[in-house]
Amino acid sequence: MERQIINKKKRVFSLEPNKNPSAVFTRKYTSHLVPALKKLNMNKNSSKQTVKHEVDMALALSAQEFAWSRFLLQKLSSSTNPTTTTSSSDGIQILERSDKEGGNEEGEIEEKLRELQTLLPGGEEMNVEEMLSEIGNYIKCLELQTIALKSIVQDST
Amino acid sequence: MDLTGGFGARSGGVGPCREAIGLESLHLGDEFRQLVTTLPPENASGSFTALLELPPTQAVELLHFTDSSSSQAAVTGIGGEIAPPLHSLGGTLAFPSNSVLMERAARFSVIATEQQNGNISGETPTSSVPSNSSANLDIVKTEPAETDSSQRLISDSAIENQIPCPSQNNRNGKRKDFEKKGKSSTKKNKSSEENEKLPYVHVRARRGQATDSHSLAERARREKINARMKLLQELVPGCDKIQGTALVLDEIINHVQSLQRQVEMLSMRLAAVNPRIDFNLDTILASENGSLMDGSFNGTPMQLAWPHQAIETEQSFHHRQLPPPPTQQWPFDGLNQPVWGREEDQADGNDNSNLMAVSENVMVASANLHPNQVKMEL
Repeated sequence: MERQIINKKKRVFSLEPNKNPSAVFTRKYTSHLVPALKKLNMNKNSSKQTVKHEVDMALALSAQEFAWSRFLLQKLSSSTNPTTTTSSSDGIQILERSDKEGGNEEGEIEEKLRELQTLLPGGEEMNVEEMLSEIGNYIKCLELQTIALKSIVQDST
Repeated sequence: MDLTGGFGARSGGVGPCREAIGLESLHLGDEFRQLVTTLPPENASGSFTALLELPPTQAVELLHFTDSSSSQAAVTGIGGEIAPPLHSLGGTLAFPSNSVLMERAARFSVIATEQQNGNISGETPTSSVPSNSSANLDIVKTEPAETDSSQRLISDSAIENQIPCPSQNNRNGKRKDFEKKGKSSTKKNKSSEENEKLPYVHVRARRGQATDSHSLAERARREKINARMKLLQELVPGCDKIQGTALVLDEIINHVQSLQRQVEMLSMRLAAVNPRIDFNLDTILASENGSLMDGSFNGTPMQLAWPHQAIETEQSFHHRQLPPPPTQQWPFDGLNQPVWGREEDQADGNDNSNLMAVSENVMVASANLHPNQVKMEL
């Protein structure tokens, strides 16, 4: 009883639905990730790869408006062995390759655009303009994701 | 609107002084540059013609003023005297509106859709300082008699509908390249605008460019890509200072890679920590409403939506449990500690506190750190 009253006093209700996309995404993300983690936890099977899988899955589920999330989902659901979606090592290789390339400016730019495409899930299937727009919101979602993950990790340590 | 009215209203008290300042600024390019540190408003020779075009009353006052101080020395002396008033004026009076205008100009300049003669897209942000002086000049003289094209460019975007600026051809040699630049960027704006809206690609050929269909199509494509690149530049921190597409792309690539690596790190840490976490989601999930999320990564409403977004963030949070500090506002810094402190006390009965704190923290952090971020639209 008492606790309910205390809880009630502390609650803050908003009168309107939350329209801020950052908050919306973050909320969705945590609401996807946390139960998944809990399930993982209960199954006592938290290898680092599975957690990563859940993390990516939560990302894809929380951002379904965007094309890259569909690709990400496909990749995740198709692969039985959860592979890392971040191709950071590949990215570094490609970067070096482009450094060696000559001074052709248009070529450089094309090279870099192609590199971006590899970074973005599903980027290869898109044309350049689409990819550039998608990269924008991918970056945003990644940032929000890092914040969410940081909070979760901080909270439990 | 405000400017002319305000100027009229104030002209009684301060008028002669300010008009004199205007004349001073016309005469003394150097003096004025000292005062406002910008483009020298043109030629001393132009001042007389400027004088002639001003309305009679103002001209008379100006003449009167100049008669009283004919010598250059006297003028410089007075210029010196006027300097402090101009500064103070610059600090206070006319120029509060100036800053608002400049803000608006800066905002509109990026999405410059309006075709004022020689409206700028990329130039206003870089030329915010000249706009200061030019807006000053426009305030001081109600009719920009012989405005520099730079003033015209910037004042058009800054003062738009307020002072009807006649589109004058300034034959000043120095400003020709400005004009040309302005025109070409206008065309660029226009064509990129049209590309966004229409199914057909209407691209106006710029001066000295090929007009066959291939290069046209390619140019259209290039412009679209450049438009998107601009948006990305604003998104990635530290990219607006960089010149050149390739470097910007580099930055973006690095940013994405670093973000992805961070996510990996964090998920590893999470995996390490995971067994110890106690999750309970009842109240959180029950409370969530479906909320709107709008869509594609579109640039144009972005600028205008930012302040609005910031406000929404502060006010319309979904409900959560506030720690006992009775303030309804959000001491973002101090929020973490009190929440967790409270959590310790109630940990037994309050299952949700842990997770609520987490989501709280996350929301707070995201809101705090991203007040001005991209509005994603569907």
